[in-house]
Amino acid sequence: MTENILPRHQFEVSPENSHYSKKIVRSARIKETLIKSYFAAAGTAALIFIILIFIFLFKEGINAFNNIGLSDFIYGTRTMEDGTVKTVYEWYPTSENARYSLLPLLLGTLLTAIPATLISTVLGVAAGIYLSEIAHPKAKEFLKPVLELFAAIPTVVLGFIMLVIGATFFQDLLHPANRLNAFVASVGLTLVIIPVIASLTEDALRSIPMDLRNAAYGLGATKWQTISKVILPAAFSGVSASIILGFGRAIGETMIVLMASGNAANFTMEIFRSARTMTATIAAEMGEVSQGSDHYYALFFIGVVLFVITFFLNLIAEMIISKMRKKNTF
Amino acid sequence: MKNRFLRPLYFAVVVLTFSVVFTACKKKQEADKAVISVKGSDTMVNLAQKWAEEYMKANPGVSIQVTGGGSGTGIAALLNGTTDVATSSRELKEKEIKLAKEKNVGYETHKVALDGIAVVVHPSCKIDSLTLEQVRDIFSGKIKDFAALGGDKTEISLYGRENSSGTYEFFKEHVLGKDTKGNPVEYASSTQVLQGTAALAEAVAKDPKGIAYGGVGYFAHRSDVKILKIKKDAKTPGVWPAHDGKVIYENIWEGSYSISRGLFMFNLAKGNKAVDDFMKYIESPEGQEVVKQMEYIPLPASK
Amino acid sequence: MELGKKHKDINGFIFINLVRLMFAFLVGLLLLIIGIIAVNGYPVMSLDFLISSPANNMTEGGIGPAIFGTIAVTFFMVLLAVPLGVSAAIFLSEYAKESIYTKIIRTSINNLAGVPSIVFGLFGLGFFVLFIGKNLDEVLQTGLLFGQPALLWAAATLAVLVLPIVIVSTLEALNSVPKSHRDAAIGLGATKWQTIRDIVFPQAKPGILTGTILAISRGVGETAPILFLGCAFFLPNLPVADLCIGDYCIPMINPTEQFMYLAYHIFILSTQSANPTKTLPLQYGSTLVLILLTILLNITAIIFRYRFRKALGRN
Repeated sequence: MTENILPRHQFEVSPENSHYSKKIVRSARIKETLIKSYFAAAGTAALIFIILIFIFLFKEGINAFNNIGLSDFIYGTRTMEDGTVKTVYEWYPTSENARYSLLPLLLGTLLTAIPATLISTVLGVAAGIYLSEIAHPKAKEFLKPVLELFAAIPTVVLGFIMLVIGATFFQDLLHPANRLNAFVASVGLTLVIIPVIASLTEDALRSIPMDLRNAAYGLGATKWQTISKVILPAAFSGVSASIILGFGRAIGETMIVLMASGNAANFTMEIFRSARTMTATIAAEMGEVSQGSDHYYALFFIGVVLFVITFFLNLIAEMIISKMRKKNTF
Repeated sequence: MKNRFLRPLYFAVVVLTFSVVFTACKKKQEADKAVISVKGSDTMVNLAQKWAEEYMKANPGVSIQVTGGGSGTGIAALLNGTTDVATSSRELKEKEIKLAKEKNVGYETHKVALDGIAVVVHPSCKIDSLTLEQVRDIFSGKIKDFAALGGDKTEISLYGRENSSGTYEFFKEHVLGKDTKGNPVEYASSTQVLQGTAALAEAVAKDPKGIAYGGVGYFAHRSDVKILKIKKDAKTPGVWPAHDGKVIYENIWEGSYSISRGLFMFNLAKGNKAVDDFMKYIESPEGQEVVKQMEYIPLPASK
Repeated sequence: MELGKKHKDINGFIFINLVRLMFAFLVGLLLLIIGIIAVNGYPVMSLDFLISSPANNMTEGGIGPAIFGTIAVTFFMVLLAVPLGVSAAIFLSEYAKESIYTKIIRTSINNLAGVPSIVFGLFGLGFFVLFIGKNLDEVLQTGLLFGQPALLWAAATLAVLVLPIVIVSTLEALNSVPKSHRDAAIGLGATKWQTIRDIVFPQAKPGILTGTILAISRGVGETAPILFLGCAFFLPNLPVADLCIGDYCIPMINPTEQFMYLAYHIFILSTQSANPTKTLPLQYGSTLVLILLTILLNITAIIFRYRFRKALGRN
């Protein structure tokens, strides 16, 4: 409403000065317009960078198709010693007979991200319920920042802890097939995702109107009945959005999986075996690959795949959240 | 008043302009100093760094910049003229030699040191020696259990380097080799890939099922990993690349230890005196002393 | 009656306490992690450790250059991210009317925050180094100066990465300034810009500072985006050069050089130093420094925000 209202009368103090004051008004107007356009330009920064990220990933990634076919990113062939040709799902980008199947990497990503999301859902939603419904308001004021501190731990620190302590702990406890394996990495990942899920769950629960709780109590429901039968179902969409966002984070996390998963490009579903994720592949191989090679472009293509997956996960979560906001404001 | 708000912005602009200006200045300043850039193998980056440090101490008029990036990167940079010296843990590939001819780039090859590749296991492992063929079958995934080698019945856990490392390529070419049909043998896809030879040593030290390969210098001084003797074939005796914390130079010089390689430096053949002097230093006894310090194997001539 | 019912709700009792237990477990885990790092890292902590350079093939010495590099990168990152982020927030909060356009912008902010950090690394390489840097070299005739991974490009990439943090906290701060203040200023005849500059911005300053601190904390802890943007294993010299005007020289950060970075240093020490077992105390020491840095930054931000919200009466 208030945009562009220049208090013209202010400058028109006396009629003798009117010629002069008009000039001032005009220059002030120009200045305001310039300032506004500066801010408008800055305002689009996030949008521009999202577009630039997509363009520049795509620009390099598309070159992968110069020499590698789309089917090569799914499967390859290999001549066995007995002369038979076998279809294989392998990531051997530097071999003479290079194979670029992304399936083992995709499988590795899921093998670390899914267990991590499952564990984090239990713990993260519980933490969200605790903060929003159970904790004393005074305690909450102190405990919520604790969760933020959790989120503040750099991932390289978590990777380091899993590498030097976590791996040995689980080796002695579970005797896994590989010391560094998908499970160790996913435990590390949970530490990253729990704060994400917890804080968004807390937001979702808090946005449920107080009336709903009071109505439930009025009907004689206990606290737990209220939480489990009324609040959680009402906040279902918000909680599921938090889980989707958490899953997106798990897929995109690099340092923990690079340090703790062992990075074997196994084509396997066994969680106690070493796995290699898409992110770790880029991180480990990008630094030393020669620019302009097929391998280089293939790594950018993995980046495109990662970007697209996380972009859509974020978009879905955001659509759920904005729908929820509309619903809750009745 | 007015610019209170925009001050950080102005500041940023000023700093950035300054940066551009002074980098230009810096370039001019360094023009009177001889600058040598060395780029390439990650295996050799520590060694090259040490050479550079020692050489700059003795020759303050020379500035040497050392960066890694991998053998292939260094050679590519040399052929593109963006580095003076390339380090490499392998010889030039045919493709690279051809490219040099196409570009009409003359280069000199210097063998500057040797490196032995050791195969290591956890100290609790019962195995002491392996034949080359066994090593090949283990890392290609044909042998999956220590029982097949006379050890305990446990699954083997393989550790290796990233596919861009020179050690990965060397080991693949010289140990895994080719199968009976002439196709190159690949590492097993279950090989766990770690970011450095030290990380391999670390992993094997903690994993009773582990086996790994890498530059002997990284393993020689560690008591928590066991270096295996390697036999050329089933009949010949096993040979240690290192024992009791010391690298055994003779075994590698004589070639009785089977898995060793040369480390190389390439420079452009255009008579840059600063570069030639540096290469001379590296091949001199002082330069070879540095090789020993860094736990690589010096050239036999400097014995 | 009410009481009796609650006692009968055994499920509720179990679940509520289970939730409490899980939360306690999380807090315990956090304390355990920090405790392990503190106990193991404390012995190597000294002034010398903080300022000296790694020695003897990275198995001895300190983390001085890594700390210097971290500060240098974050300095440039803040210079780039904060003015842009704050301006973007001012546009969204003060100038733009709610429309599909602002909705798209808000969506991109959220999406930018969700892009995997390694993808930022690829972007930094493809956009800043290979596109901007290479073209800059061509225009300025500087040979190969900007077109290679360097401190400036790492900072620029991190700036894009922390941009959403700055925008979101600034937006929150701007939104908490009461509308009545703006109306009063406009009513007194101030222009839009004058209102923002003299009324809105000063009140939102603590909130913007909070965002800046959080952005620094995030940037300091990131490793993946800078892996191939000039982060070096070991450098004998600091990324410093003399800035000379005539004969007068002052040392300044050289943004076109490679650099060491604390978070990357931890990664390197634990995976690539000559002997990771021997350097374990150094790894814990570096980790302790990094974690103290991020936690202190976050606590400062939390306190700032708490006070700020209290002062504004939390609307």
